[in-house]
Amino acid sequence: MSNPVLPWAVLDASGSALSIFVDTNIYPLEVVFRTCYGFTDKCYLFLSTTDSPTTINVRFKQKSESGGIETVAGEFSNELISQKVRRDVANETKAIRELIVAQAFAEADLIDRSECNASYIDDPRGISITK
Amino acid sequence: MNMVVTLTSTLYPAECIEASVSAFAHLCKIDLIANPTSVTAHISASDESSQVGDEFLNYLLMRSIEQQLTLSHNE
Repeated sequence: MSNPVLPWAVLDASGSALSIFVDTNIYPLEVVFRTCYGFTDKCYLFLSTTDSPTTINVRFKQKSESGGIETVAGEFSNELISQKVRRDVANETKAIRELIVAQAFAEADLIDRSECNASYIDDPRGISITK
Repeated sequence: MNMVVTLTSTLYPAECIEASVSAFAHLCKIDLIANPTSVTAHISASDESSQVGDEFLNYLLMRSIEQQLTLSHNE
């Protein structure tokens, strides 16, 4: 039975738990794990596989002191997107982050500064030239 | 409280299951049946209203996440 608050969530027959189905092609397993990590203090979580090899069922069960389970499942869904974006940005900036760390710990200068350390009078990059 | 859950090996590594069962041995009885790609866990506790089964699953999930994220980070 779909939930009126979260149409992509399914209410268990008992009514005490909600399930959402996560496509690991969109949200890789690492993203699902990182998201789950921040939610075990808010609700009871259980992961299981489904008939589809690329779909994971995330089941939410309310802890007695926490708020509505729909709210928690909604926050979880948003956090999945956030973690996915973080992962994508981390992958996109991996090379430059590694270069920064390598430069920080290297004795030699890894960056070509031939044009950076020149005199402004020489103007090797032609900054003063009006186009 | 009686609960039966299927723990998929790709999500819950066997060593994490064993470690979690040991950690909860004083709180509940957990019987494990190994299958080719999963482990079936029968969790039982004397207190009917107990949340110990859910707490076990959360604890197991945390251990599994920590192990798998550490492995993927080191790759």
